[in-house]
This record gives sequence, structure tokens and C-alpha cells, in this order.
Amino acid sequence: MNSPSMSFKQRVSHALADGQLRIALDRTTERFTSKRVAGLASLPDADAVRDCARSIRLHTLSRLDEYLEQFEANVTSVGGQVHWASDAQEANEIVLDLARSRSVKRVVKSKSMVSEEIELNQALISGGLDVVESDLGEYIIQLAGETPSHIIAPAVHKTREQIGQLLADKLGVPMTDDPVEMTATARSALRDVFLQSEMGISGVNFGVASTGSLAIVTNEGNASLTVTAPRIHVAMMGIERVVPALDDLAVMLLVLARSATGQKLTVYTDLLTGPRRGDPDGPEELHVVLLDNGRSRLIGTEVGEVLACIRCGACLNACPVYQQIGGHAYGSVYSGPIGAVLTPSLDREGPWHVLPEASSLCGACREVCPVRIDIPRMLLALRAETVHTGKGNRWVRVGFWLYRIAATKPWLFRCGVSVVRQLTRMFFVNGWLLRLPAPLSIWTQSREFPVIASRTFSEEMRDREEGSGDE
Amino acid sequence: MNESRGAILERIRSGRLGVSVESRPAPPMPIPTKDSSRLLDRFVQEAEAVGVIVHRSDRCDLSVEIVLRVLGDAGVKRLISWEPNDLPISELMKAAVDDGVQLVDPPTPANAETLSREWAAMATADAGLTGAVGGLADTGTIVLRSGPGRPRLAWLLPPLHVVVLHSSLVHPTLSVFMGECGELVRCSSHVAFVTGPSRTADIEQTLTTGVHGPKEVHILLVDHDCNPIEESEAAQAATVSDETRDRMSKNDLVQ
Ligand code: SF4
Repeated sequence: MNSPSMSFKQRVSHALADGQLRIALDRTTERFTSKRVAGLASLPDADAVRDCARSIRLHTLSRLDEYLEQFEANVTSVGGQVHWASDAQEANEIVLDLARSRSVKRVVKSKSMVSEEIELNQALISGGLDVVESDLGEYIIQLAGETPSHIIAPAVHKTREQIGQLLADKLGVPMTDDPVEMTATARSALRDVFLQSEMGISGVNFGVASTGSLAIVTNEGNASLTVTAPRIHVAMMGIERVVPALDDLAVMLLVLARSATGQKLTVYTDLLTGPRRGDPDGPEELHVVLLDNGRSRLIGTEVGEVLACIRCGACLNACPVYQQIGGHAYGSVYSGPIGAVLTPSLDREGPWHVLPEASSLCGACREVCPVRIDIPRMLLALRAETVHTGKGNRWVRVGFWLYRIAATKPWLFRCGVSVVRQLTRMFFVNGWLLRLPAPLSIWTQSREFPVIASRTFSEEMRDREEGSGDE
Repeated sequence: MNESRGAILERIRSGRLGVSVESRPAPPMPIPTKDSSRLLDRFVQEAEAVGVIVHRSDRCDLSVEIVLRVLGDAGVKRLISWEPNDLPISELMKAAVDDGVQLVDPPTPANAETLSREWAAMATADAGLTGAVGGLADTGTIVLRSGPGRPRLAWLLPPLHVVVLHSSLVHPTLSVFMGECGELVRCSSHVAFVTGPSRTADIEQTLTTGVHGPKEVHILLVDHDCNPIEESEAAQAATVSDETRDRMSKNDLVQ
């Protein structure tokens, strides 16, 4: 994964200072959340279905090797090819080799987090290929030369005015802030791309082990066109995306649509089983690239549960931190609560140990997750690991060390309290300390520190007990 | 490549050691409806809720009339149609042609080894005409299946999609359909579950239709005798089984 150039703190400050971003986030995250609530509520027994979805995912992960082998055998039996990639580089090379050996020049893509993760676009472009994203949000982002900021709404950080300006600049159409007109512009621009590309690259929402089918969902229908018109279809799939059989798939599709956008079913839910068989259209060749990139290592560990994620994006919208800073501040491909767990877990060498700190541990993510992933538990586990491996903040370490010494010696603790109390009472304003000296100034940079009460709790208790004894 | 395969599977296996195998749950049984007329009402209601226009017909001549009217109202001049035998009403294609609509042929005949992939002509079509192998009542979804004589571009490319669905093929839910029609998935390269017109909300969550696929979808739900639209085994698989009908009579539809 690409390492960002700014520190996490700097990125957050940037995001918070960006007024446009705040407007865009306010307008959208709330709308998402209310739609999701309505969507899940329309399920007769939402809780039971979520439990079922969760156990399907956990069951699959507990015998992932067997299901992957079954999946591979069935993809092969219907005429597809499976390629295994240990890491990003290998996956990119597989796709590039396919493109080169088949003299592909133009590639059309539908949204795929896996290809973002491995930076497939950059690899293909530097390999001399023309690559166009076909999801409207991704297309906008690609025109702007940016990266997506939300799993299911990549352009969520842009206002319609910004997008209108972008289309005007890049495509030479008249400036408009009407989403309908902008959409029509994109439709005609992307038409030719679909119909003239030799290779279509898609993501995969689920792979069905028992049939070798790929389930791919989009509301726009861009994935459907991506896998229909070009001669070659390459599907990028994380190894964790398998489900055992079609009835499991039905349950997963149900919760995915409702959790992602509040719809009952995504508009285009395509099940692709092998390349065309005498059909008048559809791909001649189907290739599935199974990507590991750090996933297999997580099985059986404390963060193994993260592999159950179906990338619905619900936890992002529910997260109070994400709502304020947006996706880019995380600096990683996967943002929000799930990104804060997934990113440091997949890429252990990267500068990601601060991400698990970007959470108030309020539990909103676990609450909304359709497969009930315990994100807060894993955030804590990752924080603990950061401390144990010595990557944490030095001052926090010193602070806790001092605290441990004081807290285990009552006399020392009492002394310390009275000293600190005296000190705080010397500098307060209206009951608050506005500025503390370094290193404690980190605290007062963004909030005030309360003055310590004139009497401690134990002093109060002692007095009360003595008082009541007198009666 | 094979090296990676072995290494990945090996890592999964070693991680799995000591992890108890979670038993695979039975997916919750969807609650089917009491009778088929309520099933159809539900289908119509849900399809309309996602922005589809539904027409119903119990006579073959009426069905033809409705389709011609829809095409006429939209000013359709060029049509991508499935082969007559793949449409529930085989007369439809001819009726459209007699009505002055021009057919856009798939670029190469079906069953050709390789396709020319010159889609330019198809891209000019104003409408696509197809036949569904199923409908899902609780989501208002139509199920389409690619194959010889059934180009996918017919339901994907033109701005208008007209699809004919026989009422006996409406299933209560996706789960029921998957349970009974798994064979369809196995034997088709592309099975599409389509719920409403193509839409996007990528610009500030403002809903816009027709971004890549059709802007308008019309379903013609027919009750009269039709073409047996599939090779017989698939058609059988697609028809709601007696077993489901039994279950339907025992349970209430959850609205
Ligand atoms: S963690 Fe749960 S809520 Fe978040 S994206 Fe994954 S499945 Fe959705």
C-alpha cells in the first residue's frame, strides 16, 4: 500500500480545515445512515438474518482452504482460469502479462477495492495501457487525479459544484451543477470506452464455491457492461470473498444491499459462471485473480474476524470520526473503522499504527455491521500491540510508567494529588486550565483540562463516615 | 503462480489449526406468500417502488398491443431483440418489425466461435426486448439469463428495456429462487438479477437513473399461455415447484 507523505495528524488537520469536505460529508453520511436503518428495518427478521450472515462468513473462513480449492475447481470446470497472487506485485504482473500476451491496449474497469489496494491502475498505466474507471464516482475521481474516499461512494468528498467544474475542465462541456446533466455527460463519454476496450477488469463481491460463479453488484450497471462487451474479463478477488453455495450467497446479497445503500437488492446483481458459451456477447476468456496480500496470515489471529467484512461501508457512515475527517485523512485505501483495523493488519510494515487510535471506541461500527464484526475489540488489540512493540508515543509510555509507580503506593499517590491540585489551582480560568506545559500541552491543544477538586473522593468519604459515626 | 497457490493454502491451513470449525448455518427460510395473486401484487408493488413500469395482460393479442404501444410511445426506431423462441411471446419480434421498427442484429450469428465485437450498431439501438426466467416478489426483481439468441447487451445498452415475464415464474424471494433454480446459474454464463433502472447516487447522493444502462424499464407480466421459453429442463427448474406452493399456503406473506 502506498504510504502517505503527511503524518496522520497533519492529514486530520487538513481534513478538518476543509470546509467543502465538511459540507460534502454532512450531506452524505447522514443520508446513508438513515437509508440503511430503513433498509434493514424492511427485513422481517433483521437480527436473525444478520446472525446468519455472520455465521456464514465465519464458517467459510474456518475452512477457507477447502472452499477456495472447490471454487477453483468449479471456475476451471466452466472454462475460467484462476490465478493465485501472494502479493500486490504478483497480482499486477499477472494482469499485465494477460494484457500483453493478448495485445490489449484499452482496459475498462469497474470499481474494485482490491485493485485500489494493489494499485493496479498505476501498474497498468505504466505498462502502457489505457485504463478508464467506469463507476461514475471513480470516473470523477480518476478525472480529478485523486483516490476514492469511501468504499461505496468514492466521490463522497466532492460537492456537486466541484464535480460540475471538473467535468467542464476535463471534458469541455458547459459547467453545470445539475447531477442529471452531469450523469448524461458521463454516460456518453463512457459508452465508447465500454464498447472499445479489449479487457474489462472488475472486482468480485462473492465467489460461489459450489458453482464457480462470481457475484458482482452495481447500481449503475457499469460492472455488467465491463464484463460483457470486452473480449477478456479479469476479476480481481480477495481470497476471503468466497461463500459455500448459492443459498448462502442469497443471504449475503440481502444484507449487503441493505447495509450499503438501504436498497432491498442492488440494481444489477450479476452472477457470472464462466466465459460465454455460444452467447452472442460476453467475454471469450474469464480470469480470476485470487489475491492474498497479507490476508492468509490473519486467519486464527486476534484480527482474523476482519476477513468476514463484506465491504458494505456502513461502519464508515456510522463512525463519528469518519463523519468529521472523511476517508482521505486515513491515508490508506480502506478507511473508517474497518480500514483502521484492516490496513495495519494487512500491511504490518507500513506507518499505520496510528490508525487504530482514530476511534472513540463508541461501538457504533459494531452496532451497524451486517456481519457484526467486533471492530472495537480489534482496535484495542491493535493498540495493545503497538504499545508492546514499542511503537507507541514515548510520553504516553512515560506517563503510564509514572502512574503505575504512584498508583501502587497510596502515600505517594496522595502526595502527588495534592501537589497537582495546588499547581492546577494556581493557573485556572473559570475552573479550567487552558494551557499545560509540554508534553501535556498535547492535551490542551484541542481541549481544556479541568481543575482538580479541592477535596479528593476519599477525603470526602472519610469525612462523611466520621460525620455519620457522630450521629 | 503455482508456488503462490501452495503457499497461500498452506498459510490458511496453519492459521486454521486450533480454530474450531464453525458449523454452517441453514440460511433462514424466507417466508413465502399465501397465494399467487398476493405474490404477484407484491411483485408489482415492489417493482413499481424501484421505478419500473409494470403492465399486466391475460391475452396474447393484448400483450403484443402493449409492447407495441410502449415502443411507439418512446419513439423506438431501432431494437435489439432476443430471438423469437427466447421470448415468452414469439410473435413480438415480428409484430415490432411489422410496426416499422428496425432490428439491430447481433454483430455475428449466435454460436460463432469468435465475435467481431463491433458493437457500434448495437449502441445505436433505442430499446431492448427480452424475456425473464424469473421474478422475485419481495424485491421486484427480474431474472435474465444469457445464452444463444439472448444477448446481454439487449438489457444493458439501450435507454429503454422491455421485458416479458410469465406470472408462473414469480418466486417469493431470492433465496427461494436460488434454492430451486440453481441449475440455471450453473448452465448460463451470465444470470442477471435486475431491480429497477440503472441508477447512481455518486454525485452527492442525488438519485439519477440511466447512468450506464436503461433509464426506463417496462415489465410486461403475462398470465396467458406462452412460448415455452427455455430448453425444457431449465424451464422446469424455473417454474415454482409444487413444494413451494405448499409452503406458500402454510405461511403468510410479510409485507
Ligand atoms: S466492517 Fe462491517 S460495517 Fe464495516 S464495511 Fe465491513 S461489513 Fe460493512
